[in-house]
Amino acid sequence: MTYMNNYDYGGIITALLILINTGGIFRIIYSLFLIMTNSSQHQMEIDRLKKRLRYTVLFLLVANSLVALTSIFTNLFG
Amino acid sequence: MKIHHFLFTFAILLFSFSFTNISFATNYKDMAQYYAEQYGQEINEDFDWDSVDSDSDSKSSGGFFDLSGIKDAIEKAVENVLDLMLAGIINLFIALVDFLKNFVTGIFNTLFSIDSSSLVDYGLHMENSNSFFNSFYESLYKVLQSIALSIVVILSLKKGFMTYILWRDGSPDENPVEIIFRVALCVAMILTFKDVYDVLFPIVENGIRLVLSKIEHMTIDFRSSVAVTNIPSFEALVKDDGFLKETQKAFANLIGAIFSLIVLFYFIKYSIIALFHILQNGIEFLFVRAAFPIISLGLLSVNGGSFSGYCIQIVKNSISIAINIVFLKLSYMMVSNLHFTIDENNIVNFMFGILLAKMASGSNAIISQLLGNAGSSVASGDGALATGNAIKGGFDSAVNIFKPKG
Repeated sequence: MTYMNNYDYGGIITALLILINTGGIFRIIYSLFLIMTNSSQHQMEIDRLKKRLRYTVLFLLVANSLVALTSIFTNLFG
Repeated sequence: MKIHHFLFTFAILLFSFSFTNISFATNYKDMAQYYAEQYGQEINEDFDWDSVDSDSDSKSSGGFFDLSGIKDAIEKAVENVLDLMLAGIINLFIALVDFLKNFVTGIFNTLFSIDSSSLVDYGLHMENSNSFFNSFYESLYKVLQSIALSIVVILSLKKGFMTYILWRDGSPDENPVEIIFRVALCVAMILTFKDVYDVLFPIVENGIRLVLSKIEHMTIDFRSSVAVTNIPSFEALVKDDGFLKETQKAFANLIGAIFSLIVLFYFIKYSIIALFHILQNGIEFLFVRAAFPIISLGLLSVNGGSFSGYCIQIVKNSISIAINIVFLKLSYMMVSNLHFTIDENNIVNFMFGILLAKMASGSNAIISQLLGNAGSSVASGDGALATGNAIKGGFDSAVNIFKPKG
């Protein structure tokens, strides 16, 4: 990690984190909106949407914890 | 009528002239005996006839036109000139053959210190053979390792973003915990490849060394193997008597020397090409192993990227180089400890030696098809191309972070 620190590796990771979190929040809000305004014709799609929503939330958890772990081990922001 | 026609004719005339015994010297003793018989008398044997004979020494001072002494000198000079020319040519060949023998032995023994274990190190484990390559490989591997570790996090986040937030890449129906598994696998590969290679690869190397040791001991000393025998010495050639026999012997051995020179030249050429092929592959293999962290970034994708092809290529490369090393050693074994004459059996051994050295330089048809031509400098054969594509794929996946999907 010492190599990329020269090129503001922390800045790149920060930008990615911001992108992921804001994008994730928008996706969650939009999916919840679709689920709440559903009609009975698209039940299969709604199930699939719920499953994907679960995985989106899980991914947000995973990404944030991954960055936290690597920053602990590499002293990224310090 | 060209000048060399004249010179050849002149040389033949001189050569034939040296066999005649034309002597213009005055033999007083014979003259005295002849006249004594004419008059019925006898010559005085106590007289010192050698002192007045002009045959032995140029004591005849019979005036300005007495050319007997000069003709003697010309005869002797003519006989000696041909001897000298022949001796010069033969000594030139002796010197050339000796130079080649010493040159090749010097290269192999001094510069490369080649025996079986050194060849294996040079071909497959270059950093063990040279301290410069050792330090270079260590620093290169550290730099590439840190680059790869930095890129792992960025790549995984980008992939997850495209898959689970934009729903555009991969399969969003897959559990995102898989990302953590793949990241852990990739990081483990990057961090541990070097140490695992250093521990596991000596098993392969010792296997190759065992094979090579079963072939008998390798002698690179050509000084004992190529001997131009029965060349007469310089002094023997310029003696007055023995001219015919020595030059006949010399001509026969000269032809043998020329032939042995040609065969030796071919063997040296092909063995040096094979040696350089093995060394080239050793250096390329060094870079291939140093780039391993970048290639292991392919493990982040579901299908493994170009990682598996890369590993297969490494295995194929090492097998083909091991085969080339065995070929080279066999070629040395063929020609070592031979006394080179125009004997039929020894020529066959030298032919095999040349052929094996040529095969060790990578020009083997069946093995190239099966294993890929290791270390080919021309971009032909699947081996080099596949390795290049694998490295390119690894870098592409790192560079295409911001490339829009088309």
